[in-house]
Amino acid sequence: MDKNSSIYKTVLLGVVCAVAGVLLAVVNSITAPVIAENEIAAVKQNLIAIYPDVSDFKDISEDALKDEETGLVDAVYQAGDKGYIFSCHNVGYTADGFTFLIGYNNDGTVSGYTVLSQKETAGKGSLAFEGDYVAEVMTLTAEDDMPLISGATITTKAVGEAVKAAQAVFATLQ
Amino acid sequence: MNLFALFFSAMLINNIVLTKFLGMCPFMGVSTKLESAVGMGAAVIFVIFGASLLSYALYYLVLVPLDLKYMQLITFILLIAAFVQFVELFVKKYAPALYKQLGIYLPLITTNCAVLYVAQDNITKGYTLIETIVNSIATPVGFMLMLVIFATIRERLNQNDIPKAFRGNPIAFIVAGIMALAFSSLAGLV
Amino acid sequence: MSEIKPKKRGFISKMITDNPVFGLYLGICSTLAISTSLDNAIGMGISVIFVLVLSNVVISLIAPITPDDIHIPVYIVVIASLVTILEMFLHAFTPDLYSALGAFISLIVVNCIILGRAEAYACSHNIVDSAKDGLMMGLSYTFSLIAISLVRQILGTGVITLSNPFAGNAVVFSVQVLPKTFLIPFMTAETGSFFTFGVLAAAVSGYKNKLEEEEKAIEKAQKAAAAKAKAEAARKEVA
Repeated sequence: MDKNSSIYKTVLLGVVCAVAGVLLAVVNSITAPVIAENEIAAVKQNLIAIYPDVSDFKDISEDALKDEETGLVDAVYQAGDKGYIFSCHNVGYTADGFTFLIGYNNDGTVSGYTVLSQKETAGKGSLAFEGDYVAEVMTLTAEDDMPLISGATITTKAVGEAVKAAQAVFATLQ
Repeated sequence: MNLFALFFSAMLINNIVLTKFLGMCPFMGVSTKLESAVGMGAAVIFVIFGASLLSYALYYLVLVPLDLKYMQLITFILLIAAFVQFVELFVKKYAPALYKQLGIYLPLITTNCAVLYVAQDNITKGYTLIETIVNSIATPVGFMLMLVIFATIRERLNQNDIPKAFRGNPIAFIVAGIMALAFSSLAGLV
Repeated sequence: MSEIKPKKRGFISKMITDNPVFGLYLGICSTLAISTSLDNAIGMGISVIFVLVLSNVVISLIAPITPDDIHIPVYIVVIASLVTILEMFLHAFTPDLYSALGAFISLIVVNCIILGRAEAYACSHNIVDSAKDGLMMGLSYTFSLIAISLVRQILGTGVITLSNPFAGNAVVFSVQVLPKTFLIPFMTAETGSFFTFGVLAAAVSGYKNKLEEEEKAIEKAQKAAAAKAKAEAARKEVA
């Protein structure tokens, strides 16, 4: 068949796309379930880390976030009868932003503060998710503002903003 | 989402060249002359805007209903290639001077990481149509802004006595680094 | 008659001058963005090698049956498919690396190195040579990435770490190379990326200039020797 005829070209393009499509569908069917599992496992692991004794975590995001306007709270989990965990995100110094979990017991004390992902400047903004700062946050309540770190004010302000949004949702759940 | 904040951050604060390192090839290649920088910038704005809208439509009208989300990369890049081809023909016919000036850099817009990135980003960030339009204009405007500033600096720079090893691209990267430093002060503004 | 031969250039020398990143300025976007840590550099490097080798092989196979005017879309579909497959595997089996590399995994498809090698080499050579070329270019790219990452990581955080992405980022080793007082924080930010790249590019450029000057000097010496030999031969004939 003449290589330069339109029919040949269309058929070749079609075959290449079809092969690509089939190959991708196969790989997708292998990897998609693994990906879904990973995501559930990752979230559950973090929730259990905050409330190790709770076995039933309920995702109550749809109802709890109905009136949430800032968009900074992504999910709300009810930890049995002990409290709630909020998954929040915001953008700090780097464009990619960060996500974290903050948990409040029913009495308003902080039950946990864990970072899920962050790409803030190492040694500056990243301190908002490390040792000393985490320890300080654990002593706060749902009424307190998040402390600022000098030299990392942009990041900590952003964290504070997201936490305030979570606290507002917590107040409606009380 | 506040559209002004989106516009401002897409254009300047999270500038695609200085904070995301995208569009570097034309940034380095076309910035030696101010005229070509302006022409290239305008072409990129048109391509990114058009390609983003088309790929947005393709994703939500075809890929999602047919559950073919994993075909996103292939279909997007083919769409971009086709669109750039179309723009090339258009420019050749109606603005031959611009066509000559851009030379090989016009078809190379296809492989400009910025175009594919913006098209995919609109989907990843779950933007509405309005947000997509704002993002797809603000981002390449920011690109063009940096490109033009960079070109004006480079034109003067090349007339100076630069150490031999740094001539051409190396010193350009150092300048880009200083620009990145300057614009990074905008972080956290909106 | 003595002959002045040009110096034979070793493997490392070739890797520095024929480097797609510092020599041809290809694939700069990902190089600047990913070089924040050794883990990212290695992860990205291996991903690019995977795509580059496979795309070179597939393209060298279908190039003979592909008419010229549709070769670009065909190559693009091949490369995009490989990148999508890579992305799916990374998302499933190395999720930490996947989120670290982010959008830049899909952007491998527009990495000029891959399409560039396909056009310049793979379409006109056989499978084995194309695969080898892909491997060499990929390794060069990876070494450049590692070089920049080491500089940025050491000067910016003082620590070199290596993690295993398949085991949930378990740390393989972590070495504090530079004490905290000597750190330059902006090295991990965008500015550090540009500066490091600029300086390394200048170093490569300087090295290339030096090689060029040496070659010119040798050429000159060869020409002088040849001229001298000619003159002597002419004199001998007359004598």
